[in-house]
Amino acid sequence: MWCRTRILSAIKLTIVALPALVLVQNVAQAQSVQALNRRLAAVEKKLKALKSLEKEFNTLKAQLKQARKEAREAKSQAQQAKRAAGDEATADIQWHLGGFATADFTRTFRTADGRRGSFGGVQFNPIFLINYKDLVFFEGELEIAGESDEHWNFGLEFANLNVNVTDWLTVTAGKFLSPIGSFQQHQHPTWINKLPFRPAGFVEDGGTEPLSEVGLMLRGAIRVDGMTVDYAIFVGNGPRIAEEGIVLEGFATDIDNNKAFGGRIAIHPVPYITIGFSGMAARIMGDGGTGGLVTRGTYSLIAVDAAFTKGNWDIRGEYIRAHLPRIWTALDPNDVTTMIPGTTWQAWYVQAAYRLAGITQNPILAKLEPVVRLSQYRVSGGPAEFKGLEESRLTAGVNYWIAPSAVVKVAFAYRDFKHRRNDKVFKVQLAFGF
Amino acid sequence: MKTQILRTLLAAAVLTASSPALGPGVILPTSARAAEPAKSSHVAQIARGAKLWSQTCNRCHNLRSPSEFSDKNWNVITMHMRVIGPLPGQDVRDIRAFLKASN
Repeated sequence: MWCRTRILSAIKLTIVALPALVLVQNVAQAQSVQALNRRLAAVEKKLKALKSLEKEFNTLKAQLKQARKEAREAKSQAQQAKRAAGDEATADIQWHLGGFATADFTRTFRTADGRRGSFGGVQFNPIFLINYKDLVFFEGELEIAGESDEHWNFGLEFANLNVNVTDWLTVTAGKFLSPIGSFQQHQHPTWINKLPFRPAGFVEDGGTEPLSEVGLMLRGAIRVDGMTVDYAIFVGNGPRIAEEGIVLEGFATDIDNNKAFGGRIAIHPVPYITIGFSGMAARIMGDGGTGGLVTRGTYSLIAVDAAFTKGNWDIRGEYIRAHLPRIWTALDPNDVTTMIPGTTWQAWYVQAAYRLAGITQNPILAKLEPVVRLSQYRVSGGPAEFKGLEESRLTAGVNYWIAPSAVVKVAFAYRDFKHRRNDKVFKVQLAFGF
Repeated sequence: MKTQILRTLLAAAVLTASSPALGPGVILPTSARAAEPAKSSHVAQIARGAKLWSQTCNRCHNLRSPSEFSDKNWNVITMHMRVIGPLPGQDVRDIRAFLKASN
C-alpha cells in the first residue's frame, strides 16, 4: 500500500513537473534564438559595412591607379620639356631679340612761337643678339624714330661681330658704340637714362660726345689686386667736319684716309665706384667745297667719367673736352673754303638719383626715384655755326618704376641758351627695355 | 667560394669606410664620389654669381630679375653684357650660373 502511494505520488509529481520543465526549456530556447537573431543582425550589419568599405577601397584603388598614371604622364611630359629646354639652352647657336621702346609727351614754354605741346619721341630700337657658344657673338641695333612731321628715321645704331679671344680680351669688328666716356655706351638707352633728356652737349645731333665708330676694337676686363679694370682701344674711320661742327658718328667709309684712334680705361676700386678716362685723336681733312685751300687738322678729345652706384644712390658725371686746331675747309659744300680758327668744345654733366625703395612701406612711393641733373655745353673759338647749341641746363624729374626695365619719367628742364631765347621743357616719357 | 665572398665583403667595407658622410652600409659609386666636389664648386660659383650680379649690373641699370628671361636668353644677354660692359669672362659665367640657378 505504502509503495503504491509512493508510486502515485511520483507519477503526479512527474505529471506536474514535466510541463514545467518543457516550459522552462521552451523559454530558454526562445531566449537563445533571440540572441542568435541579434548576433545575426550584428554580423549582417558588419558585413554590410565591410562591403561598403570594400567598395570604397576599390574606388580609392582606382583613383590611385589613375593618379599614378597621370603622374607618370606628367613626369614624362616634364622630362620631355626639360630635355627640350636643355637642348635649347645648350645649343651651340643661341639668339635673343631685345631692345627698347619709347613714347613721350613734350610741352615747351617760352618758345619764340609761344607754348607748344606734342606727343612724340616715338622710338623703337630692336636689338638682335646671336652667339656661338661663348666664342663668337653678334649684336646689332636698329633705330626707328620719328624724325619730323612726315619722316621716320631708320638707322643702324650698331652692328658688330665679337670674338672672345680670352677671358679678358674680345676683338670687335664693325659698327660699335663709341667707348669714349660712359653716357653713350652705357646710359643712352631710354630705359636706362634716368631722365627723358640727354645732357647738354651729349645730344645725338651736334654736341661733343662720340656716338659710334666703324672699325676694329679690342676690349675686355681683368681683375687686378681685387679691383676690376676694363679697357677698350679702337681704330676707326673717325669723325668728319660739317657745318654744325664735328660729326662724331661711325661712317661707313673713310673719305680722308685718316683713321681715328682712341680708347678708355675704367677702374672699379670697389664694385660700386667707376672712374673712367678716355681719349681719341683723329686727323680731319677739310672739305674742299667749290674750291680753295684745304688743310688737315688733328682733332683730339679727352674725357673723364665717374659713377657711384651703391644702395639706392646712383650718382654719376662726365666731362669731355675736344679741340680742333685751325683748319681750312668749306662748312657748306657749295661755298669756297675759309679758315676756321681753332675750336674747343666742352661738355659736362653731373646727376644724382635716389630710389625710395626700402625707405617706405607705401607701394607707390617705393617705386619713385627723384632725379636731378646739371649739364653744360660750351664752344670757344671757331665759327658761329659751331655754337648754336651752347647751353646750360638744369633738369629735375621723378621716375616711377613699373618694373626694373619699365619706367614713367616726368621731368622739367630749364634751358639757358647762349645764342637763343631760353625756354623750359616739360616732358613725360614712357620707356621699356626688353 | 669563401675567398670570393670574403673579398667582396672586404671591398664593401673599404668603400663604406671611404664615405663616412653617408654612414655605414652605404656604398657610393665612384662617379658619384667624383661629382661631390663638382657640386660644391657649382654652389660656390652660384654664390659668387649672386654677389657679382648685385654689385655689377647696377653700375649701369637696375637689377634685372632672373625670372625675366629663360636660361637660353640669359646665355645670350650675358654675352652682350660681357662685350658692352665689358666684364671679365669668369664673372659672366658666374653671373650666368646664378641667374640660371635662380630661374
